[in-house]
Amino acid sequence: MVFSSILFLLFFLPALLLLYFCVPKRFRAARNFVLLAFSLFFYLCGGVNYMPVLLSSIAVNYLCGLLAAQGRPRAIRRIGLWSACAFGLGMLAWFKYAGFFAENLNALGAQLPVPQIVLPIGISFFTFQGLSYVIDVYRGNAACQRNPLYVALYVALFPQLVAGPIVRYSTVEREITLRSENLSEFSQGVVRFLFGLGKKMLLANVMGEIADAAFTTPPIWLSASHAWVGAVAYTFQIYFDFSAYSDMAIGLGRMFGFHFEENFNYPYISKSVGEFWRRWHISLSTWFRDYVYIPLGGSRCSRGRNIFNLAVVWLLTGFWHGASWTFVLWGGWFLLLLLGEKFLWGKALDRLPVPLRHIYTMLAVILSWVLFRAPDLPAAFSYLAAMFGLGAGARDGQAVYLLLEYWPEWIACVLAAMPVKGWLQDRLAGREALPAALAREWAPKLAALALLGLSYLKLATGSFNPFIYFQF
Amino acid sequence: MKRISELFMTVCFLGFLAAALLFTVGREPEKVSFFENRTLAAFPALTRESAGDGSYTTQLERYLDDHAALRNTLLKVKTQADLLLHRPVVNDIVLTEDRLLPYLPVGREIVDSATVKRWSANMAENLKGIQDTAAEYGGYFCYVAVPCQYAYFEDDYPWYLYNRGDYSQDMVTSMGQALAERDVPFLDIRAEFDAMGHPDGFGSRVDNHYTMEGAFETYRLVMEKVAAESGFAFPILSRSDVTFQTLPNEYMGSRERKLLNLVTKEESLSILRPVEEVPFTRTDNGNPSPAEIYQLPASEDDLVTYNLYMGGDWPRTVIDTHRDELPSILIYGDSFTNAMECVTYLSFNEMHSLDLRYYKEMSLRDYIRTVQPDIVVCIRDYEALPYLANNGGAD
Repeated sequence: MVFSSILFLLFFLPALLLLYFCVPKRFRAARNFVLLAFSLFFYLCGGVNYMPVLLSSIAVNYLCGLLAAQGRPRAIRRIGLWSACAFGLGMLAWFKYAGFFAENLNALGAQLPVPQIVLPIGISFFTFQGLSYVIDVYRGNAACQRNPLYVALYVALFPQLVAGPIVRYSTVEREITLRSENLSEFSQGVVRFLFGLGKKMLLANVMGEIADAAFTTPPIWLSASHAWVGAVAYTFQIYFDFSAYSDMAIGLGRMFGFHFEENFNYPYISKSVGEFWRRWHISLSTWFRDYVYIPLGGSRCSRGRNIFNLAVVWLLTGFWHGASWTFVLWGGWFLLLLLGEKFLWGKALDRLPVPLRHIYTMLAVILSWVLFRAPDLPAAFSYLAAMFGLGAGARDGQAVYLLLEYWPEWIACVLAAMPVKGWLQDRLAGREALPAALAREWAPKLAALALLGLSYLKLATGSFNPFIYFQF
Repeated sequence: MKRISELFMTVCFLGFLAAALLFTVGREPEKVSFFENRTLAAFPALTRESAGDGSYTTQLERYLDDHAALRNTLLKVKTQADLLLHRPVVNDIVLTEDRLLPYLPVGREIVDSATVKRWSANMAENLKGIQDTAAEYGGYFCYVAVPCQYAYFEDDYPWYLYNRGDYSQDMVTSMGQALAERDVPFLDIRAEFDAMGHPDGFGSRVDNHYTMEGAFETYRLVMEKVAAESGFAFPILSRSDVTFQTLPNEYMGSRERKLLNLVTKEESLSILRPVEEVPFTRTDNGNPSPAEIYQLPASEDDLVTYNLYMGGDWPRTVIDTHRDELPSILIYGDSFTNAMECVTYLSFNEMHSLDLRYYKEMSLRDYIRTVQPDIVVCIRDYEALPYLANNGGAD
């Protein structure tokens, strides 16, 4: 079930809101139980077959959390920690990577059977959440949760269950048992949710259609101009798709009194690749930073060791996104750029005019998304070749058509990728006059309601509605 | 003010969800979307498999999308909004000043030249077999290529949109060569229309098919070729033998239908009547039908569609004019046959028409062997020229 569906909007969400808010606030446990039951049902809708994977992940992390808790003998705590890591990473290895490794070993001459495994929805996200819980408990950064239902609620909480953001246990630890749902939080959550819904339905889906058309066009038909339009469209699609999901998750969380960390911070205004990764999928990059990069030694070590640490992180980041060489190459591409910025051209880049730095960053990012989107390496290289004129020549009318056909969406994408909302809020913040106050208070809400209407229109009349990050 | 705005926001959001939920649940279920010309998703059945792999939820989401509250109204609102935004293509229809044309995506639904050649050769082999079947009893076979709307008006596409011009030409050339190598008679109607000055009025402005005028000229061109090559004698009607009557009804072509009839190009449908009436009897699928070749509307207020001609697609239709001195004909192929049949029967004793998409009683060759029509004509548009499937006549 996706948030941007009639099933979710008109059936799941109203039913949950009704039952949840019918339970008096003082019965926190009962409210949590309603939320957990609906979260598990939400996951069940994605396929009953996958439910045991989620439930076993919850159970193992709960038990390992008990073992890893402070106060126990160090050996027991280490068993808890390593058991959780072995189970979580083992599950990922089996469900996500077994087929990939078997295929590649077979290509080297092995005779292994290639397992046909269906990837359980959201496994990468809930596995990382479960791991972060046990590691935080082991490190003493979070208290061990004795109530298994609350561990289940943390791991399975539906807003972030299948596509993130990756919520740290410490972020919601207190709010699981002690949070305040109120009108202000609820309406803010609704506004945030509707902005996400609008981004998804009005921008990401349209850009997705353009990108899908370009990426599935045979290379001999793909002109450079068309390929670039397709790549830029995918650049917008992946941002608006994923950030929309995060917006909706954050908004839904807030309706129920949870406060999740931001996952995106206008990444496309970055002036370097390093800055881009501080603004993009923040919950994933900070997860790798805190649980992989720093434990490996981070940057407080020799240059060689630092390069090794970065290489491990980016190889894993690429692999986390999918079991394919395109993702490995995608991670490698960013590793090269980040190493370059750190050790080679970073200082020179800082001296360049801002527009040039921005162009450099966007070029690097757009090219990276081609690797990310292509189904395999040959397709990626064909597409990249077409972008540089080695397909159907430099230009054809298709790019012009796509620009003319979707001109409102292109303009909206450019504006929505920039912190226009923040600029407007800053401008209005200092003004005392009534119109400014009215605009500050009402404009986001009215805009959100307009987005709800437009999104519903798109929902009822369109059919293209995939979420990219569901596949991870 | 903050609290009022928060209350307003919450009430509006929850009110919207409640209203949309009630309208969706209370909506009279529909099975077909007329304007989209498709069957709407049915309520899915829960099975062990669909629950297990999550496909039940996907099917349910599709069902709810198709049956959402106010869907038909919203389709109109969306289409109208797209028109107001001056999108060059709306609902896959290219909007030009004079015509509504289909959008043809680049690099899709087309194949390379070598594949076209291979397909053409396969198709030509199949057609050669049909020709041989007819020849067993002295019958004559001809394959006719008619230009569909995008092929006839390919110059009307904006420069930046793909019109499949090169591909259409490749298909017709390839098919022509493959048939010539096998001595199968072939007629390219677009080339003939071009030789006549490419009259605008032969192709519809709002539909994939030709107009009645175009159908009549196609009839004449085909019959002249058949008469010249087959040796059969039959009357070929000229313009002075028929009258065209324009219907006052609003015509909704398939392109206008896709645009929910929000854009019209003021085209009317015509019917053709012979100056000298030819009495006939008609059967559809073996059952007697009224002796009428047009499905005329009940009143002038009713919309008419291309189904006016022959009443749309029938698996098998036979029109018998009871003139034993004349030869018989079998026409099969695309819906382009429908308008042409409205005049063709006038030249023959018996006219058989098969729509092989629906006719399953016997194979085409068996039908030909059983009925032994003197003349067999296959009419296909450029889009389907080398395709054996559907109306291609493959056994």
